[in-house]
Amino acid sequence: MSMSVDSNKSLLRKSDMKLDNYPTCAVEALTRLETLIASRNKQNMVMQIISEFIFLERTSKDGDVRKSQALPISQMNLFQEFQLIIVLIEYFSRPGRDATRNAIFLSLFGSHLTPQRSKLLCRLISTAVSGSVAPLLSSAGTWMQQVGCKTPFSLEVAQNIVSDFISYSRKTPEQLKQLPMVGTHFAANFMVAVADLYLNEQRSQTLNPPPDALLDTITEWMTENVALCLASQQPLVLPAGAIAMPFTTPLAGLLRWVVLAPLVSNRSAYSNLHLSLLRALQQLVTSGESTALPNQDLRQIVKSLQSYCARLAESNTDPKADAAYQKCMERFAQAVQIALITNCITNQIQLLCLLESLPPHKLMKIVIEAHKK
Amino acid sequence: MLPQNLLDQLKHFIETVSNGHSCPQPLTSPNLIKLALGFLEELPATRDIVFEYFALLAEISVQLYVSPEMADPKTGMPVSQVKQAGNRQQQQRASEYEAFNLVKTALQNLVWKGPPAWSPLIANWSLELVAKLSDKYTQRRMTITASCNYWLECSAMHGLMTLINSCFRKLTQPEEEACVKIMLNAFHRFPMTFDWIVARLGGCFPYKIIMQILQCGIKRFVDDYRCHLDSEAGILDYMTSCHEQHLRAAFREMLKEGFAPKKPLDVAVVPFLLITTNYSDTILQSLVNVLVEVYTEDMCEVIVQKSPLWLSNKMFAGMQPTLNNAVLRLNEHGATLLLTAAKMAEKYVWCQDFLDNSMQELEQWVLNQRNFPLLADLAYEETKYMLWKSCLSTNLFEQQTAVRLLLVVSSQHPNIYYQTISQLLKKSYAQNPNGIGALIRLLGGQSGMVNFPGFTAGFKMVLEDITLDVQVNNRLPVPPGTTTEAFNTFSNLNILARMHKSKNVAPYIKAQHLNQALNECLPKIIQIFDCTVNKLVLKMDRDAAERSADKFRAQQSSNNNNDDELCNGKDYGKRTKLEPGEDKADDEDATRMRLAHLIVDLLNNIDAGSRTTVLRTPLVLKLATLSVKYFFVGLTEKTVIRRAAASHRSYTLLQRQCSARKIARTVCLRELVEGALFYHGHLLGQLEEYELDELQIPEHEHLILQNLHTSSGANSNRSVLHSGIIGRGLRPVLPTNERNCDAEKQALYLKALNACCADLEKPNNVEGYSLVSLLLVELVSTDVMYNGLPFPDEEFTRVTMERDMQIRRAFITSPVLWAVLGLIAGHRPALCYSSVLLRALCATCLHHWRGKNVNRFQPTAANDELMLCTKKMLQLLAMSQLIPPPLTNLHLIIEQFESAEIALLLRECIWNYLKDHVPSPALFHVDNNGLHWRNTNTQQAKVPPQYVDTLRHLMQRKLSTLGPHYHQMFIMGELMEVNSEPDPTARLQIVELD
Repeated sequence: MSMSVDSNKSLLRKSDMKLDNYPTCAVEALTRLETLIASRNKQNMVMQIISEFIFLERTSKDGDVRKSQALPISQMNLFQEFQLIIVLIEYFSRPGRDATRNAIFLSLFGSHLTPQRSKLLCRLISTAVSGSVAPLLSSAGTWMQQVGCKTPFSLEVAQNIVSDFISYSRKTPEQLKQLPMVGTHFAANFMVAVADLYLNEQRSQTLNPPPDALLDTITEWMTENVALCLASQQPLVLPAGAIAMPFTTPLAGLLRWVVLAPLVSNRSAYSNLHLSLLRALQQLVTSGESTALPNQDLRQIVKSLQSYCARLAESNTDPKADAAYQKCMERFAQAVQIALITNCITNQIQLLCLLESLPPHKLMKIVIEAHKK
Repeated sequence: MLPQNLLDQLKHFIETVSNGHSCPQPLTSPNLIKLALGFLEELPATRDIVFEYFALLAEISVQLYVSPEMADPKTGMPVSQVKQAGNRQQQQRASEYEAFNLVKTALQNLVWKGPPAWSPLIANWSLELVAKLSDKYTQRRMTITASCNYWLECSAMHGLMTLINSCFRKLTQPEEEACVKIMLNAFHRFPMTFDWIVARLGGCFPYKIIMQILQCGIKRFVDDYRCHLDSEAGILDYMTSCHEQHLRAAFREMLKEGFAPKKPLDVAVVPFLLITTNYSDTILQSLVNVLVEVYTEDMCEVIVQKSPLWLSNKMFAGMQPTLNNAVLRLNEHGATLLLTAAKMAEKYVWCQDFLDNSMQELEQWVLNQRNFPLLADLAYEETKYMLWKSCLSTNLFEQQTAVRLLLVVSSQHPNIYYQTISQLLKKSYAQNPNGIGALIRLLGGQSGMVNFPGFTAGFKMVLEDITLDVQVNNRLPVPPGTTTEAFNTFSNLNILARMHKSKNVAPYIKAQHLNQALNECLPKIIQIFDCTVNKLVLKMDRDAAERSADKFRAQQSSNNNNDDELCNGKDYGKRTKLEPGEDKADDEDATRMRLAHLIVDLLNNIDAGSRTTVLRTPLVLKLATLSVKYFFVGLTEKTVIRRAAASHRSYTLLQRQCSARKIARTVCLRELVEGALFYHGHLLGQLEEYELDELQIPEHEHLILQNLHTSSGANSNRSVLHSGIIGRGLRPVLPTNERNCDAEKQALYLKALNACCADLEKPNNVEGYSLVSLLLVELVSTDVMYNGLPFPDEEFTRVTMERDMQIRRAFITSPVLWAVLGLIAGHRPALCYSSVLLRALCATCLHHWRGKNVNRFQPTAANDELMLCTKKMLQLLAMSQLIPPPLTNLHLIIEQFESAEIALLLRECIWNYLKDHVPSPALFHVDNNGLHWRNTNTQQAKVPPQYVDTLRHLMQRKLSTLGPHYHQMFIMGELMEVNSEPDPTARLQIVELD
């Protein structure tokens, strides 16, 4: 095997894959990869080529990549990074099979994701968003699902997009607004990640509301395209033999947003988002999937509400008199009602018991009563 | 922008920029810059690379700025305005040099108007960039100010700094913290080249930066006490110019820790701060300001207690020399510091060392005419007051320090010297004589200094002040018992003058200078003296008038025997009412009197008016007049001893003036005589003439008006006889006995006259006495007719009788005239000039004795005025040798004769003799001793019998009683003549004179 790797290497070297003329060698490496990736036996070589000719990584000693524990360090400077980004975009823009592209993307960024690569990935996706490079975004969507939407890598990408297009931008760029049209799958996964970043007590001590522009953008996406949430359910185009990871919908995360939002903000956008969410939940009936609202996520909402009530108790306020809390419960009850009806909640009884433990609310009580039987 | 287009552009951009190193020209093209700026919005992923590109642009600009290629060939300075100046090549590159400006403008726009996320990003980026560039391109070490000037001249650097500044203004609290941290990190990395940036930007959050820098410094200091703290000190120094308050606050905080050390680092605080002060004056100043602000006595204890801790630091041990210098570098509070040290010097030896060294250094610098900040501090108004206060301190260290400081500052600011002298003179040193010590030391001036101001101006200043004080009464209410400033001043001047006179002077003052200075101030002193004495004279006159009014009222009531009770009652009531006010006035007058004494003492001590000093005539006259006035005022002192003391003072004063200048003598004598006769006669037993008002004469009855109707006639004689007014009865007669002249005061007065007349150089000069004689004639005999020396025919006296009576009355009202004439008589031939007075006396006596002859039964009282007058007159004639020997004894026996006989004697012997031997100086001749004698022994001078025979006959009739006298007067004389012995009478006269 090693023989063949070496021979391949030498074969590669013979051609114009010289590190001196960098971007060209990366292009060359990519085309070579296409062929190599098909065969499962040459994974090591693929990795080596990627590391050496695409990311220009060197380990402490030129040679055995596998044995050294140290992370490879890239020799790229910022310009080379962007040259690579251009190369990648151009490569993904070329017509080709989705499966191959996804495979290459996963090879590039699926494993061995050093901070440098991760940074590059963020830049790449951001550039793709700016340039509306649909094929790349599609691959990125797949990648996201495969590594998991709530893993640090995905979250980093999401965070980077938020800062690029929201924080550092005077107005939300059109490219971001049209993201669902360009890369539906990516947009859905992006929403899952982004929903996890904000109004999440597990991530930070306090409830951080999302930036207004981000909220507006997502609300717009949801209202215009109710089915967007369900996009992640689309089957993935993966190379042969790869196993598709389970999908997640942004519904649970966004529900947390709208339910907890009254505690920190009174923007009307949340109401719109709430409405869209309810609609999406209603549509779930037809799909018949039952994992749209994982129990765990709902429990998280309850937990946040409980801690809020505890704080209310500390300041001797009756939850009934607290308008924000009432609003939360109202939204929550509506959502639960629909979810129960559409049957997208597993382990219903457990949830109902959990809901009962919250300070009583009229609507919620009715919902619980109705479904307890 | 279309997406595809965007990617192409990105590609283009990346290519251009990554090839930038080989050909930098296209990098600076405005299109590329615009593209990059567009990316910030359109392609946010490229943010990092775009900023990298901007950094490149900045570096290009800085490179150009630094490179000699762009330097102005003439000045060698970088060309900043390349477009105007500079050669062709430079102009070509100007666009590259200015390229960053476009970026700066856009970024600034972003900071101001864009989302808040940009500010920290741009701030951090700029900070890093500035640090990097400054470190890379600084060629040589410069001071902070120089660095600032150098780098801010570069447009890119300036742009970056502007950007940072704009960003800082937009930052939130946590972002600010982060920025400070970044800044300090950069500072740690490039301590030599980043300091100017910290200093420049520190102004955005001064307190934080200052505190951090101090903490940094102390850490380095603890690690290695020899480390150089130039950068830290430089930053602090630079920032102090605008943020001194913050530096002070930081110092306050640090000192608090340093004085109560808790952490191990705290022990190093004080040594560290002291070391830091060596680097910069402004830091030192701030530290001292803080120290002065927080300093208390307790703190001193703490310092003493904690100092061993600091001493363990090696640096601190060898630091004292630099500390000595420190005081000189202070702009403010330097004097406070030195005085505080002086106050403690008694307790701690190190304070003494510190003081000694500092003061020596200080004086050395002054001698070398170096300028230093402490001088400015010393010249402050507040410092001045503080030093003055310290001059009066009982603590010798403090006082001496203050004096030395004042001397130091005086060399540059003469006005302070003058003011100080003035202030010190005004203070009383009854309690604490240290003050006068300070004064003496101060007057000595700074040894070794050329052009040190003289102290005359100081004297003048204080005297000017006092003049105002004396002229304007009761300027400020003073508690009773406190001495006035005028009193203090003169008392102090007196002490100085006396010290000088007794040759016991402190070595500091040059005696001559003092005397000269005070003499230069004489006009001022005289002015004050004038004011004081005149007020006293007024008071004296007022008192006298009151007293005489009282007396007159009492007299009148006793004469008329009515209203006695009522009048007295009124009188007492009035007195009690006036008391409180009068008390105060009395007190004031007593003070004034003491002041007058002091002034005269001073005048005597400085020999005012002596021949050696040059004085203008008006001043001479004024001084003379005032001296006489002072003499009269002195007579009103309450006790004999004080009167004597005052008189003695004035004798010295008068004598010095009179022997120095003739004009002074004339004035003094005139004033003395006039005063005795007119103004201040009451002091010498003058009989009061009643004022017209008190006689209640109606306006139309005034004599002068009456005389207009009847110029002559039967009742014109009432003016002559002075007996009263028709219709009002006789004038009330005052008993002469009561108002006898006070012998003591008269003696004092005569001595005063004598002091004026006596000529120290020519003891026998009678010029002065002659002057008195002439003055008497002028003042007593108002008529200029028949004022000559000769005695006329006795018959002729009728013509002059009226005037003679007046003269006689003058002798009655002013008994002191007799004494004056007596004095003159002793100094022959001065009395000759008063011939007219003698004639008048003689004529009136003769006239009166004749009148007595009419009713012979009237007995002659022993103390009869007529008899006394006759006797005194005869005595005078005898004393002045105007009558020859046998007649000289006449006054002894005159009482034994009847009035008719007396009249006869006066006419035959005295009048006729004098008529034939005109009393004139020609009768006298001068002997070897310069004395004037009238030789009566020679044959020619022998008295012809017609003048003596009458007496001889009369005496022979009464030989039983006058036998011994007869023998002495006639027999002995003849016997002596036979033996031709030289004049025993002359010798007798001498004895009498003495």
